Amino acid sequence: MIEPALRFAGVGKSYGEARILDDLHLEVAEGEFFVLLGPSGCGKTTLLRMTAGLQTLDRGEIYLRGTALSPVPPEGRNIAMVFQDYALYPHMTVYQNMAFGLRRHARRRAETDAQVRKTAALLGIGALLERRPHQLSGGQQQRVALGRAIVRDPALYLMDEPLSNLDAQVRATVRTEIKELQRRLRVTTLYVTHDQVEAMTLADRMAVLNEGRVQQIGRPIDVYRAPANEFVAQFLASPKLNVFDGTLERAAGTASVRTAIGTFAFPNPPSSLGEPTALRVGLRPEEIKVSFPIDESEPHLSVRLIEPLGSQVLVIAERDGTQVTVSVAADALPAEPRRLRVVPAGCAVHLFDRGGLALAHFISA
Amino acid sequence: MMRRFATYAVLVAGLFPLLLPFYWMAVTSLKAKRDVFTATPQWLPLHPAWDNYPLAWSAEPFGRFFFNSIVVTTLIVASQLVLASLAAFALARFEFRGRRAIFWLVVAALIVPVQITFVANFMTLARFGLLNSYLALVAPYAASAFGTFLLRQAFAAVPRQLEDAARLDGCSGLAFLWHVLLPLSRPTLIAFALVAVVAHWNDYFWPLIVTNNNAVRTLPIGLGMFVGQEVTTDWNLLMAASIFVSAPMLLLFFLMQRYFVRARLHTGIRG
Repeated sequence: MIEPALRFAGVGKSYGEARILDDLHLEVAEGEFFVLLGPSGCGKTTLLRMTAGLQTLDRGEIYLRGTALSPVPPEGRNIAMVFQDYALYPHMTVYQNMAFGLRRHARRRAETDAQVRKTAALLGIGALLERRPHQLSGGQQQRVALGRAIVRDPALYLMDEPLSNLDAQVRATVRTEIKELQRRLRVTTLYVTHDQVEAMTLADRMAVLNEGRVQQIGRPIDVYRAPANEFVAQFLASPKLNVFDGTLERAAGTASVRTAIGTFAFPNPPSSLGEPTALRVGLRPEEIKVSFPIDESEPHLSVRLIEPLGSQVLVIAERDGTQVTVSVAADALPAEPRRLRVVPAGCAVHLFDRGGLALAHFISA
Repeated sequence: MMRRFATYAVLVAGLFPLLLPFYWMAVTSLKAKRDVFTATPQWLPLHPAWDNYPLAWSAEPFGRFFFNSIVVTTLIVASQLVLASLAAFALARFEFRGRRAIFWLVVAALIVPVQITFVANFMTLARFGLLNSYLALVAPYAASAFGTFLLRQAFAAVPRQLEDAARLDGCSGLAFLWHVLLPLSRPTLIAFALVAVVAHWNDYFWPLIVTNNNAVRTLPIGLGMFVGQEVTTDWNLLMAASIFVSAPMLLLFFLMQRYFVRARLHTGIRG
């Protein structure tokens, strides 16, 4: 087996009684863009800081290209980090900010100069080298922070929510740039975020974390299609996952789940699904098929609220205390819809047991 | 417009009582002895007596006093900057047992009038036979609670992420203090150094107590020697001496004030 670029082996961290990270195992391949996704307080930033050497581990070990990192001080780890607030030195010019680490690592002046200019050209900040951080826009500061990481030519990039201080428009631009840059440089990257869009768009693979534990590891599309548990499904849903209580009904060769908003039939019922009759059923707003009946006699939900998002519209409907949020294409929405019906066929259904563990994912027949 | 005018009117009015003593000092320094006290105030020196300056300079060994004042002030301020920086660094950026207690002791030291320490310090120095030495003038002021407090506040305001970034750049401990904290705290350092220089250049009481020898006396003592040692005081010579004693401070303040403003503009610390 080839040693992965980065390996977390049973990593644990506690603050007093609180377990921040618990027996964490992860492997990141050479050149991979790996995203740690999770809510604030899930331990993802702690993991990043431990990798950088800014915090110590209580248990386990982190290996970079097969070398245990614990005995190595931060400056010896050949790791560069991009911080949430950029952490540029305010009293230094852009050039000095980028050159500082190289000079501290005792590179020669001429070599440093060449590296800094090459990296600045790569990032399109060559004209800003003599400016100071406070004279730059947020996007430019972010680029300098990236430059400071790249210029060192490290074995690993760590990025701690690097886009969270940018406004929406710049964020999308810089996100694309980061992705392109990483593709080009092929440096192993560990990227922390709480934003599922960033995780989905950037990651080669990702790990979803909650309360110090890995919930699921995989390619974004696989995690999205088959979330391992209700938490992951919920976290990757936008705006939110619809969850209903359901009961499993089996007949000869067929199976279906009955919920308050409709009954969803399995296309080919899996035999693995035991006999838990009480289930939790998750449906993402964008994965529910709906129609807007005019006829009042059809069973339906009453539309409560409409939230236009541009090309998509969120419709919130309710019946007998059961609420459902669906996302539909704006041009498929009739003027002033009053009634909404869930079409049982063609919905992506996620089944969880009472404890939230995923049992099956299927497109209803 | 009216508001601006009113502001300046107040400022000018406030300036007048501040500048008057300086003006009177300058005018008196150029008067003949008989013109110092007159029935009607003499606002301009009618016959400027430039001779007062060389006379005053040679009345006491002012060359020696100048040298002593420069040495003593420089040693005190340099020592205060070094010790305050190191103490503030520890108090602001390290976790250790008793950190809060020590910080409060520093703050408490701000409240204690310096005169209270004089007797104890004098006795100590006398026992060691160190009176009439530069050490006696410098040692009691080598550390400054005020400077430690000011710098601790400045260092504590530097964001944690900058320290993290510096560590990854191979810059921890004293290198972080030197390359990041101190440059970022330049306005505070300059402001504190200015206050300290002026305070110790002008200090009279402590040097008076621990010196009785011209070899180590400082300028304020030299000025004091004009007063009361004979029956009459040569006020015109005293004022001339006061001019050249205070001139370096006025010059320093004038130069550093511009530097001070510039230093402020250059440190845009983003949170």
